[in-house]
Amino acid sequence: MDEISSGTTQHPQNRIGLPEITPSREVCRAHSWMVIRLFDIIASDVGTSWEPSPNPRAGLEEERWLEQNLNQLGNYQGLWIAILNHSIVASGDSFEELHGQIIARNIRDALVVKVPDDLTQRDYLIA
Amino acid sequence: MNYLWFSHQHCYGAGENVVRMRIRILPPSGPPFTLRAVLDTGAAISYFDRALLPSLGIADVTTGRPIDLRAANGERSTGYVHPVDIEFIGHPMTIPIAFCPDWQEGTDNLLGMEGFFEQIRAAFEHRARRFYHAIH
Repeated sequence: MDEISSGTTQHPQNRIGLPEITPSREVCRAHSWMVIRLFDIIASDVGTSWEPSPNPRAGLEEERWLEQNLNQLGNYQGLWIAILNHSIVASGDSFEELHGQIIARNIRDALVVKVPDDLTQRDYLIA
Repeated sequence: MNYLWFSHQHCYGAGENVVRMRIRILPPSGPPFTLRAVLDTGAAISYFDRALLPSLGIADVTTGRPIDLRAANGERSTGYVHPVDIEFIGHPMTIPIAFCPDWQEGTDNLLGMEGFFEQIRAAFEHRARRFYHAIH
């Protein structure tokens, strides 16, 4: 039997009288691809809610970077920015605009902050 | 003598007089992201910037529970409370957060007593700039 064209190899009947079928290497590869593709489709359909894995370090490095580089953000005054690792990966005039970029580029676990209009001013928050 | 036990400590900057904590937001669609929010034991409830509403899947803020909000300067407005899924230092929580459509965008996010501090044990040692906490 042509294993590649049929996709299966016929073996002698098993103990209960049914033919044993062993999928060929090509069929296994195709099935693996389909499983991966199916997983991708399901994941994209349900967004990220399927992945509740906690990340206690989310934003930690980014927050340290922000505190060390706050005075270097003059070009971003008044803007919303997304920081990932040690760099600004997106910015926008509004949170909505920035969040749109985060979704479009699937940026995970960025630290999102609004850069103050005046970086030299030190104010006292009374909430 | 009573003892309180804490599982975590957070050191904040030497010059800081507010404690900002990282809050991981798990939006209904799109990847998770992190915001900073001020710990505010003087706030009766958490309050977040209304600019976040669309990212949380809240199209109409008025669908939340209405409450009367009073700011420190006496200004009064109607706020709307929505349950929001967050992650606080790796701990998933759902907390009630008030949003106010009348207040401008870009305000500080505040973590207040109802719903947030109810779920944790907390202590401050401000002279050492340390915040201690444990999840109930």
